[in-house]
Amino acid sequence: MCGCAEGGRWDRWRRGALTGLAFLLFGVGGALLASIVAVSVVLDLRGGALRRKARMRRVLHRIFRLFVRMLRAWGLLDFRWEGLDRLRPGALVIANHPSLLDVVFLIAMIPNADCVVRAGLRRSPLTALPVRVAGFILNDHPAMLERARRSLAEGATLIIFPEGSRSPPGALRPFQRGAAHIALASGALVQAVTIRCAPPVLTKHSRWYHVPPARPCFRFTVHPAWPPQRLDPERPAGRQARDLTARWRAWFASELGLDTATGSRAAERAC
Amino acid sequence: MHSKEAIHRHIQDIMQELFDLPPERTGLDAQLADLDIDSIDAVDMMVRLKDFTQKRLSPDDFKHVRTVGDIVDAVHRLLGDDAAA
Repeated sequence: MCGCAEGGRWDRWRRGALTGLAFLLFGVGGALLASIVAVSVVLDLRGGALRRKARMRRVLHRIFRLFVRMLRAWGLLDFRWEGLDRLRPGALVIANHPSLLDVVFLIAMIPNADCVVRAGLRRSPLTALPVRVAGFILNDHPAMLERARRSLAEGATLIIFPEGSRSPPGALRPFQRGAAHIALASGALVQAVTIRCAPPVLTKHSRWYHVPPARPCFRFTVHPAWPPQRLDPERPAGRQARDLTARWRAWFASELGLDTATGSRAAERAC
Repeated sequence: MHSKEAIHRHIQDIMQELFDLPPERTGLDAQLADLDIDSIDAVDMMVRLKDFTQKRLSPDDFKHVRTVGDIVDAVHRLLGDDAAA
């Protein structure tokens, strides 16, 4: 059961200190480890670029899985994964995006995860190296669609956040259409992952050192795959992408209890 | 030789067909950013404009395009080059 323990001042101080340590570990330790692994992966000349990428992603998967379990062991958060057995290789995973930790968890859940990332992540010192070596796809790359299609064809599970960046607390951002274009162009299975977090942590408007009043509880649900959406050659692709995106957004809003029209929370949800 | 009005009307038709945008929203002053047109849409538009102008289009032709009117000017310029040659 996902425990949402309410704590006193000592508890918040302790969690604050551990949070700082966790960030340090993630930043320095993760980058160091990733660099060492990256070098060894590159030096290991067996197999081509494809194998190297897959190996790097597996390593990232294991590191992140270890990391989130560590966070739980330290009492910083709790989490629950549902429906992991529904995951399929070569599927497009679309998820809402309440927190900075979302992608860390998703990669921890998915063994061969590729990701469409914001261009900014390639420049940020914390994320630049893992993004590069794992071969994540930049969303502003002119050949983004083709890269995504190829990645899915190679059997990777491609993660994308249609909102583009983190949701404002209690609301759902407008969905960008890149994911829909990828789904239509690739004919891949599409799987939704809903992410709930209570109380919210590392959201769009909170600072990294902000310690929530109680231990945050994350709940990830992998939903059954939706059938592939074939691109209808008779209609403009832009229209089909708009329709598909609108349907997805409505589904997420309904599933998460958010108002479709304005995207504001209909009712407070417990973990 | 196409007039700017004819070009504008054609562009409005293209935008209605591709993006479901009614002509009221695609006046000359309409900002593309307000019309929810992303980079993939822009590529689709350029393919249509290529058919219309029968010319090779490069992204540079549209680098400074911010409004629908800018697109009209850019296309008008491209068609005019032909006549001037």
